[in-house]
Amino acid sequence: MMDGENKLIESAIKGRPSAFGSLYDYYQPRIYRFVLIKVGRREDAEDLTHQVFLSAWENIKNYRDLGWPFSSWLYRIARNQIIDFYRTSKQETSLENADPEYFLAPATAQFDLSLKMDMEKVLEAIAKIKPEYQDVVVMRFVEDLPIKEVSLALNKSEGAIKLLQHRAIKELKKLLC
Amino acid sequence: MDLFAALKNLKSIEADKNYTAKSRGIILGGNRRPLSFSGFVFRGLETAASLALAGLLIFAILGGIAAWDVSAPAGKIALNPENLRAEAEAIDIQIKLIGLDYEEILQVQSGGESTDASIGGAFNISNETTTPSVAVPRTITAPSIDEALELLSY
Repeated sequence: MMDGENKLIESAIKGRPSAFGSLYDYYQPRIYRFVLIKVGRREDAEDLTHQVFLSAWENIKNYRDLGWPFSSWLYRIARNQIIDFYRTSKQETSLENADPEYFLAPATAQFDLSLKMDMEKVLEAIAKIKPEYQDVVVMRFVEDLPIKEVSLALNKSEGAIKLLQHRAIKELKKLLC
Repeated sequence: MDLFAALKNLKSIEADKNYTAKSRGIILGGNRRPLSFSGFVFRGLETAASLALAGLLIFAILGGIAAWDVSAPAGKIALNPENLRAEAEAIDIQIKLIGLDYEEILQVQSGGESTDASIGGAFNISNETTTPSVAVPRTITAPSIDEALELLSY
């Protein structure tokens, strides 16, 4: 949660683009990372991230009624966009069979070789676990979100989130060994 | 490999800056934010107030024209035939027969003699026609216009 977020949200609800712009600046990298790790391709991640914030801006008046943390609301929109993306995607190749270089290269191009290799391995492993495991791993261990915000974003109890993250880490370790 | 450290490193992944700027500009620059109900009502009130002011201005202009029209009665009355007739009837035509010489009137001969019944200085008529006899009383006070006109007609 960013400083002064509630005031910015109130201003954005009243229709002030500058307020939503500040929220965009803070949350866009987080949502982009979440989407990119889930879908794997930069072009798709850019399109989906754009749709997430476009939808958020158009429906921000609905946010006030929900009473959730703003991040949880954004992540929920992102998850729905990804679900729709997979539903309508023409890609028939499963993520497991995709060429890792094509799959991961755009996301890690700016890093040095050793770091890049480790990141690519982790990304490849994340791509192989269940979608709800992916969600928990990215939100809890990449973005450091509190369990409560993750539970609201995923519409699960906090206990369920704890269980999911335990199972997700176990699965990843198994894949990376 | 330290899994948790590797996961933390993923936080370094960022979107392309050009894409970010473009996306932000499209989302915020298009102003696609639909109006909330209160915003819609407020926008409606703005429109209503604008229309009301425009109507008031038109009314004021028309009222000013009407007031100017009232203050210029001649023009208005000129268009009203009834007022014209009333005005015409109200005109008091007073013809002043200046210097009417009554004594000369008395000189009119009876029996059809012509006479030089020149009447006063006001009327200088040479009457070549036969003037009928007119019985004029000796004592005349102020002759009426009709009588003077009758005399002139002979």
